[in-house]
Amino acid sequence: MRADLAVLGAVRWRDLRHRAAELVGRSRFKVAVIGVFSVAFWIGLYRVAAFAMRYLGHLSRQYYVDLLGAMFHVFFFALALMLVFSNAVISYSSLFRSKETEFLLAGPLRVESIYLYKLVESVAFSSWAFVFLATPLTAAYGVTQGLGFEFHLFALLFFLAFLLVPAAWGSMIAVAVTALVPRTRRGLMVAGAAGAVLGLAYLLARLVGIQGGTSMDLRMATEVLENTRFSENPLLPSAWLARGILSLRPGRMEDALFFLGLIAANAAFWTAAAYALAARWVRRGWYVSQDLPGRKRMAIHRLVDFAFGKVLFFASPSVRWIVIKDVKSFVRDPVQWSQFLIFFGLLGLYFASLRTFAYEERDMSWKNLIAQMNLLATSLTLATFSSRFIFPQLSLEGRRFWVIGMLPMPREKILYGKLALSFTTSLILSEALIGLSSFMLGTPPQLAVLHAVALFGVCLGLSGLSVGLGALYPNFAEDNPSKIVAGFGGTLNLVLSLSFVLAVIVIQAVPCFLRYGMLGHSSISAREFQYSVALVMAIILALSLAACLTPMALGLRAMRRMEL
Amino acid sequence: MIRLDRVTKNYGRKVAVRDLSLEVPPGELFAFLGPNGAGKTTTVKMIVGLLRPTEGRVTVGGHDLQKEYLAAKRILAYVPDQPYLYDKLSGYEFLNFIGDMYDIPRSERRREIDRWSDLFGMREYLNLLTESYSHGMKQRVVLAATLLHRPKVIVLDEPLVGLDPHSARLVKEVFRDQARAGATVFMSTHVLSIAEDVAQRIGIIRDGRLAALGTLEDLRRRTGRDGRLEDLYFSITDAASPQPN
Repeated sequence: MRADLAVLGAVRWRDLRHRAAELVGRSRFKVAVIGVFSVAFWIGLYRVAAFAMRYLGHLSRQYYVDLLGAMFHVFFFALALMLVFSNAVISYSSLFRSKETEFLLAGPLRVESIYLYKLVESVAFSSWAFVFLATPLTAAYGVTQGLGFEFHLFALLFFLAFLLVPAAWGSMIAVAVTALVPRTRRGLMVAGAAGAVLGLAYLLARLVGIQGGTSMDLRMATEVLENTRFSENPLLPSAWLARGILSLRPGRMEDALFFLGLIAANAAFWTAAAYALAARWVRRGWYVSQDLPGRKRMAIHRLVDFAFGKVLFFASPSVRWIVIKDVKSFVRDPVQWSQFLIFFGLLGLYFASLRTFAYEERDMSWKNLIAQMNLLATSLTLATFSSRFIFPQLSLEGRRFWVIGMLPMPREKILYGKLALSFTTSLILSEALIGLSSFMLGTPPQLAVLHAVALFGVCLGLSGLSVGLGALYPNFAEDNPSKIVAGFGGTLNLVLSLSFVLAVIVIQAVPCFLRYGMLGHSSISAREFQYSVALVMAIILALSLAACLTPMALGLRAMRRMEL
Repeated sequence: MIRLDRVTKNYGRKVAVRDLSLEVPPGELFAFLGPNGAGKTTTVKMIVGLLRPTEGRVTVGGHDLQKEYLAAKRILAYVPDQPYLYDKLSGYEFLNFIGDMYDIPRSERRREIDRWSDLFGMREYLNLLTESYSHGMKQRVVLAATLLHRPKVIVLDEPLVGLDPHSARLVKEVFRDQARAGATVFMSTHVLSIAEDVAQRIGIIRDGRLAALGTLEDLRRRTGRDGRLEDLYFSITDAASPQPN
């Protein structure tokens, strides 16, 4: 086994070395852009976390420690859940749908070695976001608490040990489901995805359902603590991580080391368990995945053709057919749509349950705050959606790109088709969601219209960014969308998309908070608010047009120059 | 050396290979022919252990592919119809990776890489990343990788696709030599002239069943024709196929 792993490790190391050399040698600019944006984003997250911690301390000195604990527990619990899910999806793709796995399985390598090699790949692909999100939080905690360098070092050790636990769980789920549930795998995946959506929605609902005024009082603090109790279950590794990091301070280092040891021991145990499972079930899973009928008789999907034909009435017939092809490819790939379901199902359930929290009966400052948070959540979900699903669309044409590249129509139309698909889909979904939110909250018409227009702009800008940059930085050699998204173009797109979303949210929030300020008094009159809203809508539309047209122009130029 | 014993393979309700029994001894170059979708690639993948037979048993060198897959794979080499190469490795690094995988000693490995590089004319591009290779260049690297560990059983699925006539002839000779040296060569192909030139025996599969098996002479006797393999092939495969109106 050791020799197998050494061989596989060596080949991956060479592969990475060549990639790094190529990146540095060919495009210092790209490295600089990624570096600058990453650092800026990290600093932004750090500042938000530090502000939140200071704010919490300012509001309730009595409950500060407990509330901070609750914040850490919920944060790590949510991230752990996402890590399990993303590791399951990545493991399934890289173990059972990859050409490399077929190549390796044909060689004299132990299947469990191939599994471990793929597990490391899965950890790397799924966990960088965890580290990127978690380190600003712990850094802010360390700085606000005045903890030394050792705290940050130990926090990193905690993360490295912890990451293996959800990775092992996720990949075990992927292997077990593939190997044991052959015929109903698709149904199980849907049920699993729906279960995860419902579970998360329930937890989220419990969190946001906390009753309280604008001042932090005993009742609210108690409610927060009660509603986050689930994440403090002593059997959860995410709870060990939270408690371990919170114990990293003089006088409690013994506790911290205990939790570090506990996590490390569990990481070793679950990795060993996954390895043992792999030895028995990965080949079986491979056979099952290969045994699925290759020739499925597909329904003609006249309904899809008809619906998209009507919705995309403004596009030419050739563009419509490209869009319908993309929609069918997406609908027939469970790995793709199950993630999509998680993204938007969660939001839909949450918005639909807003009335249970009686927000509509509260004063306008609360309604505005919740409406703003909903707009932010919808926009961020859209940014993730466009980065994850729209950006890799052109790259996924892959070696088949010549088929559409040779069609007797201007190549630009291909991009317009992708833009039309992205814009139409995201607009319908997001406007439905934000409309539901406004209805449930009972927000005033001006606010509802402003948010609808803001989302229109967000959809336009995000679609232009993802489609344009997808054409500017295509990767035709890769079949796995996760890997396409992890490249330079995907990272740049994600960073620009998030920046654009934040810009729109901040711009539209200014008149709203001036009108419906947090403490119930307005800084501007109703007439001033109306004028401000009109001005802000014009600014957002101009910004969105620029965010859409600039990358589209660059993408179109790249398309025209593209050699098949 | 390769033995398929009453092998059946189903994909759901579709029967891809039906009750196939076949034995290819050491030193034989066996050509496996058949129309698209007849079950050739499924058979090849069962021989190399990438698919599991629904019924029956496949052994390579006496090793059951399901029970002793590592022992079987150590003596096996496989060239798929769509060869896999790591884009960000050079051809030389890829060959070294294969050498590591089969645990070939360094000195022997260098000698073998030199030998096949010269023979396939790969020296000038072997230090470039494989992502820059043409299909034919990739195919030659994969063929060299196949031969590096001196396999006893070689399974080829459409090995000549993308090769120029010189390379195709070279490959034919190389695998004929391998068979003469005692290796078992199982070649699935659509190129009938190659099967005619180099194969000692020919198997023709149609709708998952072995429709014909034997030497070229055997097939001629069976069909009652005296022509080239192409005529015999059409005679056998058209026998049960629906005729166009």
